[in-house]
Amino acid sequence: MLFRAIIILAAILVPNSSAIAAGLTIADDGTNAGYVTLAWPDAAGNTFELKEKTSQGWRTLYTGGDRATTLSGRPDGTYEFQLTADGASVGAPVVVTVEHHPLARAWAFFAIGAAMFIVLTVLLVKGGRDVDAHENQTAA
Amino acid sequence: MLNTDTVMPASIAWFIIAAFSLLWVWLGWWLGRKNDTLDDYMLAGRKVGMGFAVATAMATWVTSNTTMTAPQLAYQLGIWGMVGYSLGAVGLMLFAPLARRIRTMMPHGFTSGDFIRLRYGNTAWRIFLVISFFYSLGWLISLGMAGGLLINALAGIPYAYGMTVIVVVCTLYTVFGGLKAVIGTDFVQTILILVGVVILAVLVINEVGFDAIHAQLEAERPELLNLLLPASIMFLFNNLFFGVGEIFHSNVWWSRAFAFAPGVGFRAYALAGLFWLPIPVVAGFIALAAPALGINVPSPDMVAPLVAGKLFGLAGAILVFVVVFAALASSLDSVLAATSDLIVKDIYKGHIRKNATDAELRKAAVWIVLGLGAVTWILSVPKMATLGSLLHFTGAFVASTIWPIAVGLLNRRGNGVLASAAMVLGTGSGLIAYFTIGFYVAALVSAAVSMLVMLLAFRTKPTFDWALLTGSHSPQPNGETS
Repeated sequence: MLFRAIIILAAILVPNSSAIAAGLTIADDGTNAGYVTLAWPDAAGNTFELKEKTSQGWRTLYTGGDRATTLSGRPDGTYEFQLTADGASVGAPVVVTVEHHPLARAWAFFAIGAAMFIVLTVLLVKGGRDVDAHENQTAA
Repeated sequence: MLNTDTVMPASIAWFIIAAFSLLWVWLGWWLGRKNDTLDDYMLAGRKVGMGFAVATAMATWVTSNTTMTAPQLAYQLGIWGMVGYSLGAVGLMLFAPLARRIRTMMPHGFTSGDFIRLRYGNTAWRIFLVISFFYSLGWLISLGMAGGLLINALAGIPYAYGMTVIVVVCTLYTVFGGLKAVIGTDFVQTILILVGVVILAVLVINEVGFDAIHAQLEAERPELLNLLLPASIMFLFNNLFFGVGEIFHSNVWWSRAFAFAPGVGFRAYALAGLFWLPIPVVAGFIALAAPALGINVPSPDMVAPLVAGKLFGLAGAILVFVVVFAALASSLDSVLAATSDLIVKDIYKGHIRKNATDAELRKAAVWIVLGLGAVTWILSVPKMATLGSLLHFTGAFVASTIWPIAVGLLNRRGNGVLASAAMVLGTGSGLIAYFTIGFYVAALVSAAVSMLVMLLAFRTKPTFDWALLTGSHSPQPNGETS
């Protein structure tokens, strides 16, 4: 029973990559890490064009029959995207704000990981020796 | 269909699938035809030599996660994404001394659950089983998903069809041959994987070139080259501890420690880790060529096959197909076999039929492998997440087991209450971190909280008697500790 509950919980909690909406949606939000997957799973049409707003106007990021695209490596900033299907705009533009984690937070996690790695390595090396010594003593 | 720009005709994809499926199923039957006892079926007779031991450890660890998720992480988190993924090798290396210890201390043991039950008692054992099954299912689902995604990316065959074929084939040959078949096929699959990945990386460098890749990334995706990308820095040790958690707790690795001949485990795991280390970097590098090639990546876990298909056309697509199919099969069969062992010994024998004979257990193992295959298929049909996010979700669970296992194997201090608390609190904290910060810290937070709890063990007296573990072969009237 518990096992079934956990599986159902996971199915509900794990981010779903196939959001159901007619226009442009954010399927995988990694804006704290500079990436995002934009999807249009239920948009009507055969040829889609995804455009991004720049200071010089709209530029095309993708043209074709796919129904999603993944952008990554973006610096902090606000980005605006518009989808067209067979030449006609689909829904309103989607605004994505990328805001990376503060570097201090990143180093804090790094330090915790490094410290834990040292403790684990010491435990494995020293613990192994202690066990061997104990066994030799017992055997003697 | 996720990807509409495919390079391989569906007929060729089906031909390759059929040819390799026949090969794996035949190998499974052939290798398993002399299985007589439960030891033969579950642990390959406990006499696996060095060559097969290194190959199976490496092939099992080179999964679809290495060949498809490492490129995904390079595509999402940049340089440190693929380097961080390669730190998964540390898990294999750190397990080397434990494998020797496990083999010496429990010469007749069957599962990692055996150890937890004897070392920490029934409550910790049941918590551990929940964690372990949850992880195994997550891994199985990710493998099934990877099969469907791969076939869709390269040949345009619908996701559900490709996923179904992969799951059915691997289930069939695991049923026929048990662990012996798994290890034998792993050997062939390792050679295919290594040769294929190296050829692909050389081809990518020759065809696209470092300069073009770097220039495009700098212009379009500068943060992928940023060595101070915060999420990537957070991810580095997270992935290391995720890998350590996966290996330390999972019966996939314990069953191999039991199956390897005496004296083989330490060197086999250390060598496998060393050989595995560069593979994610090589595989991940392929993904960084995607922007320079103008490839649309609908789902980041599809990036490697998309690049290979675009660059090398049909030949490249076939090469990637064979490599990833081999990697998938080598892991799917291992997880099926090891999870089935855990269910047979810890659930069926431990909780349901406490007086089951070896013959009954052998029969039950077959049905359990089939059942697991079916459950994997059902849960893989709705593609619930990307491979990366699904896998790292399970990281919150498995990383909580690192300290109870390491302390429990090497120190007589610590008890079931502490081990249970470490696993429950570690998992809970990891899940909170997953949802509030990101997938790239779940395992790290889980391991850190679990460590804090287990450190309390060093304030207790060393009371555990190692002889309790050595005697794990003694048949007990019930599966539980008294």
